Amino acid sequence: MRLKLPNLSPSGAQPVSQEKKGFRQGWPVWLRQMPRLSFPPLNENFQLIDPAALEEVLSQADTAAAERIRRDMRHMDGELLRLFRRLDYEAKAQQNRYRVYQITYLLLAALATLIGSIMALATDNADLLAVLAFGETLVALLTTYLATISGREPPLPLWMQNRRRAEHMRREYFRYLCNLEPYDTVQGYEREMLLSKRAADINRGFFPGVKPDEGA
Amino acid sequence: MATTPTPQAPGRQDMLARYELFNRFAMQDQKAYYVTAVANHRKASRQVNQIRALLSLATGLSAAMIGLIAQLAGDERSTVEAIIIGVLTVFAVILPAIGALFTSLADLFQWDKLIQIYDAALENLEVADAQSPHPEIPQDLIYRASLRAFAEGTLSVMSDETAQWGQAIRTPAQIEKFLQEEQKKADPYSRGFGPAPGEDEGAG
Repeated sequence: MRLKLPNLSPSGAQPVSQEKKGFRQGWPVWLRQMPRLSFPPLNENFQLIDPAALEEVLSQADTAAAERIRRDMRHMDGELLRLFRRLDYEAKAQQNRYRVYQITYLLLAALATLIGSIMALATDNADLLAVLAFGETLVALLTTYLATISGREPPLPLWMQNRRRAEHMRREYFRYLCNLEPYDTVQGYEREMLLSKRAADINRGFFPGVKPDEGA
Repeated sequence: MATTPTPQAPGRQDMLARYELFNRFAMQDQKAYYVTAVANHRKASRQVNQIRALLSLATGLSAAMIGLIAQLAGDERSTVEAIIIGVLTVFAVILPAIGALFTSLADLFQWDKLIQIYDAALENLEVADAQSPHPEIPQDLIYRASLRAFAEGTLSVMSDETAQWGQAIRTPAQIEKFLQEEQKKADPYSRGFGPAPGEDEGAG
């Protein structure tokens, strides 16, 4: 029996993402998650909070508070969001690259199994065996070629590293927006400079209070 | 002598606006992400499992039918029977290889493990959400403490989930093994070419 999936989110809204809306719509879900061969360019205008939705909230807020928040958003756009966009994009690109390699290996492994099975059945045909043996060698050489290519700047650690930094940057964005520690103890230019410094640290893999690149 | 200005605590109006933004664009957005991810991963896992089961069934049926036709036809097989046996033999050889590919695909995407991680994160987000400040709290100090607990709790769940996610992503063992075997096979033909400079992970 096929179960009906529940509503996608508590409010029915889709989470914020750099992914194009309606990407591979109508495809089986597992196929939608397959990597793409042509990766889209970085979206320089991506925002963690949609500007129209932000204004909708701020229009109902106190004028002075709304102005302070707008100033925070402007500062974050220049000091944090530009770094977040690049990290998030790089993480996605490396994830895509990693999966392209892995799925190619899976296809080659399936081909190797297939050739091995046919070889086991065709023991009395010397010509066919020679062709299959050549095919088997070709698969081995192709696999080694791919492994050598992916060995330069391996995508898995780069995916992990960029994703960790991007997620830390996302949390820093909301930490500043909500005026949490350490931003609640300073004001004005000092508060803005603190964000700039912490964003630059996260960007190089130094997470405040955590060993470099070891934390989440 | 210049002194550093003492930070002033933000007023209630400021906190209300910041709570609204955090709740809508951090808490609710994160919940939406987990709900969507769990639903998608569950569906993908089920679809791939169905394909694997179908391939396994088809392989078994092909093998059984080869045996049945061979038994019924005996030594004197007609052309049609020979063609059917040939096609079924091809199926019996190809389908297990495709089935193995789908098994490895499930290991690569780790859908079941990620469902567990996101489900747990969703439950923990509900705990953080339960600490959201009530608008009728009269004292600013208590309102601020409640807002802080709510926001820090949310960020902490997001941080834990990222750490667990990082531990869940691994290259499937069967791909690592396949790579080692193929590199051994290719060795006699590519002798003299060492690993590329800086190469430290073949499976990447």
